[in-house]
Amino acid sequence: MTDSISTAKVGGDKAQRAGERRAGLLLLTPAFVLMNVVGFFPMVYSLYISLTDYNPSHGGIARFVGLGNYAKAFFDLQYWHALGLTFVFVTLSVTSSLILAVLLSLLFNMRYPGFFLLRTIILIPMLITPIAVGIVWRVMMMPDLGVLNYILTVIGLQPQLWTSSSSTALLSIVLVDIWQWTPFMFLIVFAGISSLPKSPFEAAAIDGAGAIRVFFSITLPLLRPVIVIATLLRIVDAFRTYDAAFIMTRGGPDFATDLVSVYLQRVNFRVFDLGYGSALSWITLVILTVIILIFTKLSGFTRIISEKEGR
Amino acid sequence: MGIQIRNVQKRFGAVTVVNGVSVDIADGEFFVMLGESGCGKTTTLRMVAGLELPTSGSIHINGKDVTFAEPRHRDIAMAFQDYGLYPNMTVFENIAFPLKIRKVPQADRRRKVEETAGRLGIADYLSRKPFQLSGGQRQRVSLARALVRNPKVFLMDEPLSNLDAKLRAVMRTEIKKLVSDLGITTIYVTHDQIEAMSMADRIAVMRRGDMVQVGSPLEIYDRPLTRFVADFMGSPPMNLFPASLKTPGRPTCQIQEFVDSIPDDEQALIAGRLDSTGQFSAGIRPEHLKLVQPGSAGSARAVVDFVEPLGQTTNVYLTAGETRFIAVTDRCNRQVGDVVGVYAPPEFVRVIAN
Repeated sequence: MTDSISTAKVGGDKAQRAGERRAGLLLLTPAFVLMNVVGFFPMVYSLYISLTDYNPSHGGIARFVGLGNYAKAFFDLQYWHALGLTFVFVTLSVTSSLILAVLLSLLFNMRYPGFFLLRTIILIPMLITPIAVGIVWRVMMMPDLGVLNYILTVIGLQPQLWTSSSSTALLSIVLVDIWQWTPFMFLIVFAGISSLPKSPFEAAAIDGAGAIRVFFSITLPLLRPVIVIATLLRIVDAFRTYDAAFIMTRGGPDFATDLVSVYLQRVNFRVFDLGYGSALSWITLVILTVIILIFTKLSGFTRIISEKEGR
Repeated sequence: MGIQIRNVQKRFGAVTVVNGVSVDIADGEFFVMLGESGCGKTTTLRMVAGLELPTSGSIHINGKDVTFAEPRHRDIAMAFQDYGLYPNMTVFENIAFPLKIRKVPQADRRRKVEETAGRLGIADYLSRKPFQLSGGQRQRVSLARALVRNPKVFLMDEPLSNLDAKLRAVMRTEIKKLVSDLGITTIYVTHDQIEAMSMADRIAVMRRGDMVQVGSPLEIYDRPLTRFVADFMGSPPMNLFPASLKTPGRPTCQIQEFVDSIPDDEQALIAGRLDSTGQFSAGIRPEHLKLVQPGSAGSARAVVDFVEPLGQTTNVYLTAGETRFIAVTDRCNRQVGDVVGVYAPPEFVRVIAN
């Protein structure tokens, strides 16, 4: 009697457990569907298009061309030029904003009164729409009417051509990118610095280390995981910079700011060469992935993660 | 020589954390500051280290006024509660760090690090990172780093409180032995009275920013000045009975038998320890109470409330009238509800300020 009762109960528990598992699957379904519709399917489709000569402005008939588009890309000097520019752009922008962010974090970590307000204010560039940023900076950088040249002449420096000269245009958009995205880096690095344990620094003060040694021997190594993650996010983000740069220069003058994103936009949505554009996009994705892999390898990212988990 | 702390005060805004502490610590002395959290012991230590600056007062280390000197100009070493190791460096690099800053030649550095690590039993872990070590090993590394440059003064801020009880007992002995062998003047901060008792040459009991009593461990244990000290030291703590002095020479107490025959020299202390309402406390350590036949001469009648056998000794919780107290006896088989006589040997009864 008692036996049969307890067995029935076990059976009920079992059914309930199985039901819980089904509920889990059910709850996952919407996300699963959404991911497939807007993520996975378009990717696969663009991979397919990249093997055709699909161009909606030519009647929209897609002929299969195999790896033709990829072969063509290999000899597309314009593309490799754009990629090179992007590489320079990302390196300059990310490095400078990282250095600035670390310096700012050190400064704000001194926690003088009033810093709280200042800290909030310097986050503002990050909040502005990149298109607005592009428009405002284009105006500010106008060689004749722009405020930047006015300031330069007031303090006795040579006015610059900024985005109007092919020799300074790339640096100009780098400058704007630094201006807009240093706050983002700062936010992450500052959070990192604020959460560092105090005692190693006190131990260092007692051990006799000066400020510079403390920075290089302790602060920087302890910040490393944070810096690596912030840099990683920024690299990916900077690589796809489009709006502000496009608004400011449209890739010019003389293709001096023709970033990959700008070039891809031109191929895909100016001449609607979608087959070729998709191929270029895929090549870019692979290159970016390789760069990220190299970066994670060199920066010891995976080791950092495993050390964190081991702690 | 040694450390002189003179009238040191520390205020954070309106809050006074250290309230005019003065003490002389002799060369080579092991000095323990004991108190509950928030009593100002750590802040006092940090002011000696130079990690905090006093609001007023002065600190001298080995004859030099260091009140406002940078920590690195004080020739001190410090061990932290959370060890304060450099997580990015190996054990070797951690211990070598102070030497590197002092530009000790590399060969010398290696020799000294290995020697110190050997002494602390961590020579096998030199290439590990701190996160690969246990708590006890980490604290050893922090001690090694502190000791490697032969400091004049060693400051320790609850170095054992993150360790488990067994390891704490082991490390206690090791630290004490190590610093007394090296003859380093040590200030040790703890909230653990057993650590204080077992390690200190002298203990300062702190409360609300004041040093309430400074003395050798046994002095503090045997002759606490105030209720706070009496209650803080010893486990179970001293039994304290409200008492007063209405007629000179005839103190009265909740359990009158305990104060009837206080020796004269102890009686003489009463006048100085009365509070504003003419009250004081009569104190006696649980282990000094004797359980006797009810009704024997000089004993008070009490009922056994609860018995805690601890193996070697037994804690007997007693009630006499309204008053509850504890006696620690040898192993015994008293039962709850037993009526016993409690005898307080007069030489162990203390007069304590409220």
